[in-house]
Amino acid sequence: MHQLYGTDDRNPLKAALVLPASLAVLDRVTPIYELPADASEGERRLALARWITRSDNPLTPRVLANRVWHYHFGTGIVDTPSDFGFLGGRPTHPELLDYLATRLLENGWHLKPLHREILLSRTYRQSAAYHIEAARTDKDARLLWRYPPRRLDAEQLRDTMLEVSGQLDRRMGGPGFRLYRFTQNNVSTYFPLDEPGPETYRRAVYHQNARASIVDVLNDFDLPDIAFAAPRRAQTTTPLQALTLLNHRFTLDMAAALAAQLTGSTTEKITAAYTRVLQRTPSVAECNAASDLIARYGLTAFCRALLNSNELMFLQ
Amino acid sequence: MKSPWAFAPAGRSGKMISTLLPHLAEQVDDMAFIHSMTSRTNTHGPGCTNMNTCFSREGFPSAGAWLSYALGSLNENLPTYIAIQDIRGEPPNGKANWGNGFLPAEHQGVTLAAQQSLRNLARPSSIGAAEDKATRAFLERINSEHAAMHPESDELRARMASYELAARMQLTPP
Repeated sequence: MHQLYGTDDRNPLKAALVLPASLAVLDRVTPIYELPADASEGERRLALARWITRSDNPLTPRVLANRVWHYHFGTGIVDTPSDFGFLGGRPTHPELLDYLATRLLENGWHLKPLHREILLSRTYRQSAAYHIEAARTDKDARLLWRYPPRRLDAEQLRDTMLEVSGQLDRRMGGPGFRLYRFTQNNVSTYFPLDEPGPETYRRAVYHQNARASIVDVLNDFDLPDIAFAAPRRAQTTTPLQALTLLNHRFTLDMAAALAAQLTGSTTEKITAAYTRVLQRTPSVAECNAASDLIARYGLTAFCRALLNSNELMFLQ
Repeated sequence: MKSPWAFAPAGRSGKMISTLLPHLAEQVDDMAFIHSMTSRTNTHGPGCTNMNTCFSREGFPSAGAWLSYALGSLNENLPTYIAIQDIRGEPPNGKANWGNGFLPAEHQGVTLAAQQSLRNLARPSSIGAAEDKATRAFLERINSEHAAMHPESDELRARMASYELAARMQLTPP
């Protein structure tokens, strides 16, 4: 490879030769390396991997530990997971981040012990209860005075709807499923499925994504463009989400499936639905309003509303 | 490499057009040319993406997404940015041509086509208008009570407002 600064690119021999080496700008983070120009591809990759994972390189375990934290709390200790440089965010708890990074090294880069330590912490297990005093200085709970409330991610939302309706297919492994069909002539054209059947009722992690496909429930709820690495997801609230969740066949099928599993008197059915979907029992007023709706339009209408509720969508 | 086919001046403007396109050459005076729009790719997909996003790689916001992001909307009943597809299907690289890239998802193009209006816009045929209205009223009620217990959360109210906008969109079919 040659360095071209406005040089004629048809004549690279005029340009300086670039040697395989670490980024000079990081020389104060971790020692640099340089390989001879004729080093094989394997040697180059190995040198890079060793440089990234050297035990005296603090950046790699910090970045990794921060991502694990980010996935559990919705925001990292550094809120720009892919940028720890000058344009990135400052850590809210720098000593905690270094502690987690050290633990990662002590555990031989195994992630499970790190997950366990985070999940068993008091910080993770605290409630999302609101305190006006704390909110006055830290509205978004970046300092974690409460567990930050969050909306379910696209995949979590879909899996949750399948689970509370008793439809989630828990089989592990095997070929994935698709929420689209496609035609191929000169280019592939993708069409979202209007009637996803039970063969698609597996966890979203088994969905076989295609770069050019659009999948209503997942894409509407901020599944990132899969052509692009996305360290953080956008969190939007749009009328398209409302239309999809109200009118898509998936919601109607889940509502009908949930309704079909409720037994007993109307009050018992309402209580069972609240327990499954919202993990609590309904108040008397809620029960009366639900009874009204059910008497006029049936259980499925009531289930359709519950599956659209904010209380299901947000973890408070 | 140089084109192996001849170019010849066409129309009153004398625009140079490939002799492979004799019929297009007749229309040349009614066409606008963007001479700055060039790319080094030689394939359809990246070329289309380049035309719409300035990058031949996927993952960057399209021109419409930038407009939606920068200018917002004058109309509270319709999406800010729609992509109208050719009746034969999507262009090469599909939704990357009207994607939001790294901008928030609300700025993505909403796809319409002659044979398919907005997805999920219409009330399902299995649900009557009165049932739909009653279901939404019940939803509005449980969401209001839930929001009242969390007065600090803007997100809960924003999501309720999005259901109201969705209802207005149903009354203003594009």
